This record gives sequence, structure tokens and C-alpha cells, in this order.
Amino acid sequence: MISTSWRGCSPMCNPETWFIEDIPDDSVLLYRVFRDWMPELKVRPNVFREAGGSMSTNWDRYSTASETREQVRSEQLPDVFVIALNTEYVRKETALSIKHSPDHSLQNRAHTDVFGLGASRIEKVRLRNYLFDMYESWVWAAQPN
Amino acid sequence: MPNVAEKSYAYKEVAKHKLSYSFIITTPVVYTKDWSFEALYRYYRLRKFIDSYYQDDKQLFEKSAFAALGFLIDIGKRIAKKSIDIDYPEILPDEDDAVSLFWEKSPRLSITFDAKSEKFAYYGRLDNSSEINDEKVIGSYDFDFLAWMLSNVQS
Repeated sequence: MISTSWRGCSPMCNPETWFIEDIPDDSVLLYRVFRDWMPELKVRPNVFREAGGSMSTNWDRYSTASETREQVRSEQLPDVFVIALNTEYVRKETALSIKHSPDHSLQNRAHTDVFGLGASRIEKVRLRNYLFDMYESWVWAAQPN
Repeated sequence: MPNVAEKSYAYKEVAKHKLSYSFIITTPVVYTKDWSFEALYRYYRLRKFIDSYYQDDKQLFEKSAFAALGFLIDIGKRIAKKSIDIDYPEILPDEDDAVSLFWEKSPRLSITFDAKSEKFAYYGRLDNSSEINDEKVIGSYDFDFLAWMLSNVQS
């Protein structure tokens, strides 16, 4: 039996039935940022990074900010923060591509890739600034206690 | 204020890429028009931060940091000559052991120094419709252009 606490996947649900869904513009993408990216513990353009070819996020339909924060190794937890990205903004202002990509091996139905940030260094420095401009001031969606 | 000898020593150390930590730690932090001491102090803070958390290639990171620092000191001297009042940037650790300079105030300027590719990339927004976005080899600075850009992004 699959045991998980992720929202949208009760112990009775079957990951084999998860399919790739269209993510509507009114969705929120939850993105983990790490303390060692932020000398002053502030969101800055440098926190927007790809890992394995995409920015890894969680769709808020299937995960909360706290759950997103906890999807790391336990020793990393004190250094993990979560910010919320506005899907409509990401699409319209940066033209980055958002693709729902449930991660069956990690039992994470919420997993969503954001593609296009790493096209080139020139593009990256521009796109990161666009992402940074998303909010007038950033707040943590989840942070260490 | 630091005397001329102190300032010259600081600049020389940075230029030679042989910063002495004891020098940075023991030298009082004083704001100078040309940013020399500010640059050293920020570097020291970043170095401490990296020592605490950073796990990748510290040697490569250090090369990127020195590139950023050398740039700051060089451009700081030019800005000081022009008597332009510009805020000092944040120095941020970046992916691939790069180091970024970031001026937050609107309009915006970001410069990323990447020792691996030996290039720096910058993005600046002069107003709502005007952007600058390019990549060049580290060291090939058009300081007049960059000083002009800095004075404009802060206006």
C-alpha cells in the first residue's frame, strides 16, 4: 500500500492513475529556495535556478507550501524556504514553459517543471530579473521554525 | 578614513588575487567613495557565508568572486571620479560557482561573473522600455559605458 501525506493522494489513491494535467493560470507554483543561495535571507534573482534541466516546483492543487518544504532530506530542512510563483505571471511575463510532471518515484503528484531558464547565460540573467519582479516584496510561503 | 597607503595596499592585494584574510578582518570597515574597503568587507562576509554553507568547487567560486570584486573596485574608482552617488550592490553566490552583483533599486542591474566560462553577463533596465542584456569576456569592460549605465539605473 502506498502511504503518503501529500494532498491529493490519500493512502487509497493510486499513482498509476495520475495523468499530466493542464495547469490553469490561476494556479500557484511552490518553489524551494535554500539558505546557501541567500546571504541576507532575501529572495534575489539568483535563487531562480534549474536542476536537471528545469526549475522544479509543486502545483498548489496537490501540495501545500509546508509539504513542499518537507520534500527534502531531513538534514536539509532547517535551510529550506518556499516561495509562491504566480503561474499567469510566469507564462505572460517570461514565456517560460510550465509542465505538470507527476513524480511517481517520489509519489509527488504536484511536481511541475518550469522549462527555459537555462537557455543561455544572457537569457538567464534577464529572465531571473523578470521572475524577481513578480511581487513588490517577497514573503515566504513556508520557512523553518 | 583609510590613508593612501592602506587603500593602495587593498587594491594591490585584490589585483594580485592574493587577499589576506587577516588583513580583511583586522582592517576597519570604512565607506570610501571608490568602494575599495566596502568591496573587501563584502567579500569577507561572502567568504564566511560560503565557508558555512557552500559545498561545490570553492576554488572556482573564488575566481568568480575575485572577478566581481576586481570589477567593483575598478568601476568604483571611475564612479568616484565622476562624483556620482551610487549604492553599493549586493554580492550573491550563484549557480555553477558564479558570483552575481545585484543592484535592486528600480531600474535594475544584475551582473553575473562566471569563472568557468570566463564570461560575465549583465541585464539592466534603464526605463520601462529600454533594456540592456549582453555577455562578454571577463576583463573586457567598457567602464565608461558601465559607469554611465550605473548612473542611469540609479537615477
